[in-house]
Amino acid sequence: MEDRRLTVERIFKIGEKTHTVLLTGGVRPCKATVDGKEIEYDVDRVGENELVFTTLGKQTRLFIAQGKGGEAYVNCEGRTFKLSPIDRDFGANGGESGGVSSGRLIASMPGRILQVLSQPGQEVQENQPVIIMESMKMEITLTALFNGKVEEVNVKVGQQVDAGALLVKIEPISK
Amino acid sequence: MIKKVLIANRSEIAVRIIRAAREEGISPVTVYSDADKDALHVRLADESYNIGLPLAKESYLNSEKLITSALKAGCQAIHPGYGFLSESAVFAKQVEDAGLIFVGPLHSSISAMGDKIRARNLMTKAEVPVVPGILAEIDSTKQARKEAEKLRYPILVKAAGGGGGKGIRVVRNPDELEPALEAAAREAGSAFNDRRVYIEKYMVRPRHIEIQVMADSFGNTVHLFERECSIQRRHQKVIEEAPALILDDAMRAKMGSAAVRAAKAVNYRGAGTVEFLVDENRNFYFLEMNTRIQVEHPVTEMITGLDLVRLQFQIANGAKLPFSQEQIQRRGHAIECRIYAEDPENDFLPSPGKLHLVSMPHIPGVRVDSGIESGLEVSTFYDPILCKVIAWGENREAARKRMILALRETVVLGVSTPISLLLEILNHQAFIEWETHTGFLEEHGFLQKFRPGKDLPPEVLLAAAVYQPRKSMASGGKALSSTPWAEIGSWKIGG
Repeated sequence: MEDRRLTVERIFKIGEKTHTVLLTGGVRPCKATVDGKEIEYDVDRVGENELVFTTLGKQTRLFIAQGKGGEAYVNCEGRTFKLSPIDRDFGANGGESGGVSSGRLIASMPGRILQVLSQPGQEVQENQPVIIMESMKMEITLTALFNGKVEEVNVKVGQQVDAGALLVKIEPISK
Repeated sequence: MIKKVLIANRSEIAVRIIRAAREEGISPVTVYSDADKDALHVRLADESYNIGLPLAKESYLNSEKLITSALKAGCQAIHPGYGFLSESAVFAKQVEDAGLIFVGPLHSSISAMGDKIRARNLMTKAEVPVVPGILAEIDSTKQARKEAEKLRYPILVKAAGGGGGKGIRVVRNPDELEPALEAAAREAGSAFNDRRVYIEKYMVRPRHIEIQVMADSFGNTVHLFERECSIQRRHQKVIEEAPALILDDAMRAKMGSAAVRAAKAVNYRGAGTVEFLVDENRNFYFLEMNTRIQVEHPVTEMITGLDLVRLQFQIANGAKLPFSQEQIQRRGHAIECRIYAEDPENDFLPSPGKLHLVSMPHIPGVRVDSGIESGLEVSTFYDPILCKVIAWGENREAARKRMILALRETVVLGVSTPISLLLEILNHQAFIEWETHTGFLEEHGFLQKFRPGKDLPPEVLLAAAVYQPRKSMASGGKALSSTPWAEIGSWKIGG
């Protein structure tokens, strides 16, 4: 199977300002463009809410929690930020999708596929688990965001994927 | 002998009192409104009673429910904490009439100091200097005008029925007088059910210095040094510290004995605080007395090594003060920062919401008095205090640096807090040089549309971009395994 890598674009609003993050994938160290500036980074996850980033040799410890509406609360050395996502492309965990969903489940971080729970041609329900992967030492369940039919499954169990890898494509079934 | 106490309060102070009660061998009983059913102070107590609807009037201010719960639980005493009914002489008397011990002063002492005009008169008799002003209530605008001119503008119109920053208006010229009198009376009426106001000279850039006093029921009264609480916003304290560097030992002793005289003048018992204003010429003037334990008591505890809440229980149990004035020593410097669920970028409006993550610093010399945990829902029914962070150092600069360290490791995610603002204050040159006074925040622009400005670390955006919760959000928690048993997997007991 091809490794069809996409650039994942995440857009966030903090207060009145809008910020853009492009995750451009790649093996570690990962690459991203934050508000137009290119960054190489490595990230480690400690438990449910702690991330440790290494950029240019410097280590930054952050705490993050996600609210019900997909907003992210981030604490960085005593400063707290609230980020509201405005997604144009689909992050693997959905978040806020205003507009037509593309139905593409994408890995937003490097990881390993643990379970593939659907096959091409299979009909899936909204919230049905489709892929389980391990990413940054945590198990992540990716689910279908709407009722649909699985069009493509691009990965197999045990496969290592990069950030931006297209995992599963689902066509919506119109009601 | 107090074996069980009902704590008529909530959040961090209720948690604090629970701990002190246990250390004194007293079983703590708490109460909770419907909004607080998951609160820490409910789970930490030996028993907890639901007192109904969240509105404070129906719950924590409802003396009947509080006393009934205490009697039902078989308590011998009620501890009122701070705020709520702690300074209600009526409540203190009701508690006594119900045959319970009120952990605090006599209700007569509360009334004497609760009426600010009466308190000023008592102080004048006890030779405690008071802020220049009139010693009676304003009965007409004409009289107010006359007195204001005698004092010379600027003056302060203040409520007689209570403190806490309510019912106060600054008047800088005669035109502002009448509207100020009306506004203050209105605010006082709604806050204290008492529209009486009086006037004082408005002191420019005073320091707010208060003295902690402690008295037993045998008349032994001591002071436990001072606290400086000059960093305030709309008369609400933001940062407090002990000791106050502006005082030398001579002035400290003078203010201390004035505070003791003030307490004795109202036959005080228990823990109390006498507040003074200190002008640029280092003259001090009585402002008011708070007849309860205060929010900022930890800084006094940190520099004296004493536990004030335990002392409250001991005194309520009829014990004598276990030390004399000469035996009280102080060491080092302590600073406290109050963490409220408020948004400094939005005029400090309360910021309710769910606390997705709470993580407190664990640093030597740092104390945290907290009522919160991850997962708690912060409501708007009550004062939105989350926790207090207190840092001790061998001197003020060491305490200041340690406080900055502690705040950088304080994580509260889900509501707005003033932590960024506090860090900016602590790093400000004027704060470092202890140029603190009650106009500090305004003078240095901290109140004008505070923006935690400057750079946004790119890691913050990256974190939000890459983070995925363990169960993807879309599943809304209805993941593969919807019960903890399924997650554990199959297991057998025994062999």
